[in-house]
Amino acid sequence: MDIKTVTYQCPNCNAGLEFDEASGKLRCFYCDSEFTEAQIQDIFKQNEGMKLETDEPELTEQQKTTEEYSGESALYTCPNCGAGVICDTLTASTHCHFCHTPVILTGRLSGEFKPDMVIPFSVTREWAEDGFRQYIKGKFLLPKGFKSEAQIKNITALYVPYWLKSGLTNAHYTAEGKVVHSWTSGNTVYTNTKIYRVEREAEMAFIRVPCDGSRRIDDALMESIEPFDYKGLKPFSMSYLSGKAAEKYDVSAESASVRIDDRIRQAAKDVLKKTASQYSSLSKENCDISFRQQNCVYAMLPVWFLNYTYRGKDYAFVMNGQTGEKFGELPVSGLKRFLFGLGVFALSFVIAVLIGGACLCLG
Amino acid sequence: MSRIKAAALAVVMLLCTVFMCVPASAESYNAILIDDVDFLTQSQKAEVLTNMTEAAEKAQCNIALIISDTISGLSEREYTEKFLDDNFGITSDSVVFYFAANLHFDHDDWLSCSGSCDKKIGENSNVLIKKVYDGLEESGWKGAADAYVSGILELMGVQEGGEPPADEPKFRVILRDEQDVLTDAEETELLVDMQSAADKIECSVAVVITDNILGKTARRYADDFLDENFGFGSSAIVFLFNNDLVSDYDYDSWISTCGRANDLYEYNTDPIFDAVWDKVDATGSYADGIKAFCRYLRSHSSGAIGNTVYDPVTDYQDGTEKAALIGVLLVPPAIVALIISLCVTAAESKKYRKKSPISAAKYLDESRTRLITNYDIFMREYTTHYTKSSSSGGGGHHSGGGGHHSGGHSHHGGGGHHR
Repeated sequence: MDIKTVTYQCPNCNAGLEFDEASGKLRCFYCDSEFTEAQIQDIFKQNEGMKLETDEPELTEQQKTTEEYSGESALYTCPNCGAGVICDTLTASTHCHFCHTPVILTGRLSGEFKPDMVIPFSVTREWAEDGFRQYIKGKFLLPKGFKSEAQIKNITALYVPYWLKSGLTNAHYTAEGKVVHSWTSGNTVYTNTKIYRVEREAEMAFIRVPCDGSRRIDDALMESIEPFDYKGLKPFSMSYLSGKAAEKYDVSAESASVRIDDRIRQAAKDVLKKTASQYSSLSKENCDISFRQQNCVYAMLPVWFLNYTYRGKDYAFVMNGQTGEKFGELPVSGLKRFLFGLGVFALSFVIAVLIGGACLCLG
Repeated sequence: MSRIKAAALAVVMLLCTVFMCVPASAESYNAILIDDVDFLTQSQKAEVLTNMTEAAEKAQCNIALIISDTISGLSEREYTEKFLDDNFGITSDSVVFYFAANLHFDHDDWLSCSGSCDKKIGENSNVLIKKVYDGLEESGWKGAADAYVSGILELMGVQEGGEPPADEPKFRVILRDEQDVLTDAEETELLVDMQSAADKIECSVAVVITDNILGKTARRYADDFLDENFGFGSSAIVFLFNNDLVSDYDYDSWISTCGRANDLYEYNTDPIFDAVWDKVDATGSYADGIKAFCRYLRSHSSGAIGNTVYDPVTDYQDGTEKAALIGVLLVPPAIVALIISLCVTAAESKKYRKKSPISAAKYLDESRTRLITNYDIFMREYTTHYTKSSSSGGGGHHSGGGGHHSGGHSHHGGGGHHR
């Protein structure tokens, strides 16, 4: 059975509409028509209704074993050209490989997989590419192909599924604090140490602590481009996904909560430790955290992605699609590193020999 | 007709007789003895002249001995060669010895040879002259004259002894250790080393270690040693270690040169002293210093004139020392460069890795954060103390530096070392 799909087509020329980061509107890149989200809601109300009313049926075992549903792939029919296109089970928004029409797999965004919120892209492709160029500027150990324009053009806009957890936290922190004071009298150095029992308790509210809901995206990588500005959060609408890639989550809220709670625990402890900054050192620390009034929101957050494989290892560059914060683990060319080290060695050697020779002569 | 024939025959016989007599008279060798200063008595002169005449016949060469203190404004060489040419002929087999009677520093003896004497006597002039002086020392001027005659006969291969044995080294070496600072094994090794140097530089070589220079100056002692052992005018170099320092102005070492050695090393004494004393100071061994001396001689045997600068890398160093010096110059910089290279490369590579993720404290709503408990309860205190230790300064050390300067030269070249 095909996955339910929808495509936003220009009412004027029928070409595919894509969300334009610069204007924040859906734009037809053929006739340059632009439509606001409200206009889109009106025009494509039917699509939205279809999405809401029709859930993707649960697949039978037999269906899963068929060619269309084998492994990590699934089949959908492009609503524009009718081509059958295979995609993986997590993809929620993509382009038809044949006619390049933006296709949103509504079935993947329904029911429990329907996002609550979305932050639309505001960082344009050009900005993302420039950001990448700036990031790799001056890094001369990169492999040659990594910096090529063809490689840079591979940068992809992706809506990453996130769990945003909010809640109240009660943190209770105890420790032994030392205050050390030294002074000198004559030839004798005196050291006075005062020991205190430190106790702190606080109630804290954490708002929308994020954790990405995709197993195949590195959590630490996503945390490197935080924070997102939640003022930009909007109620979810599929129109924002048009022209962009998107994935549904495969990490449940409960699993994501575990990671989020760890972050909150550490943060709470750090906050309470800061209140005991007058001590020279803190030892025998103990911190108990309890959570209450928690809730999790499923949101799609914008990220620009660039993947690169070098010697069998994957490297990813990511940029926050809202704030422009960027980071990536970059590959290092072994040959360039060796040559760089050799050059530094040669230069240092020559300088050291000259200095040594000069010292020898003067000695 | 018969009368004419008889007359012609008579003339031919007369001519043949004449020609036969000429070679006989041409084959006679002359001996000339001149003693202007009457160092020899009349009877001694007659005896010496007789001996010289007999020797001339036996050796088949003309022999002349001139004991004089006037040479008419000519140099010794000019005088002697002119005497030979005028009295015996340019192409004759002759030997003439001018024995300077007053021995001024700039008025020397001279031996001139020609013909067959040139090779047999001229190339061994030092041997002959030494023999003469030995004779002079033993028996005075008569003894010197007799030694002159017997020396000529020996060198011409007439008497027993003849020419120097073929396998006898052409250039002599003398190692005189009067203070017994060298072991027998060291002496043996050093003699071989010195002989190698002597053969290379084509000069005789001597090293003297002494604490008794007989009341002379170091310079005089070295010069006399050279003359007495190798002969006046011989190509030789003598290195004197003088431990008989009676005043601060004495030289602790002296180099005396003559002949070819003078040409090679007269202006190179400073580097020689540096080479020798660096080694002696470093190892405390005279043997090492003498080896350094020999090394320098071998490495500077091509006749460079002028003061060469002591080059620690190329001069005086054998292969092992040179390798060690190069190691000292190159290994520490290589280690330093390697450490710097590793640190810089690691620092550059670190830029390519993940950074630390931000804390969740960024998501804290501070307006809703409430500190419920804030206790700091004093538990106890204690005080410790220690006394600072005093530090002492280190001692310095100083070593005396040595200056050295080259000396002038008499009829010898050379220089002195002063510490």
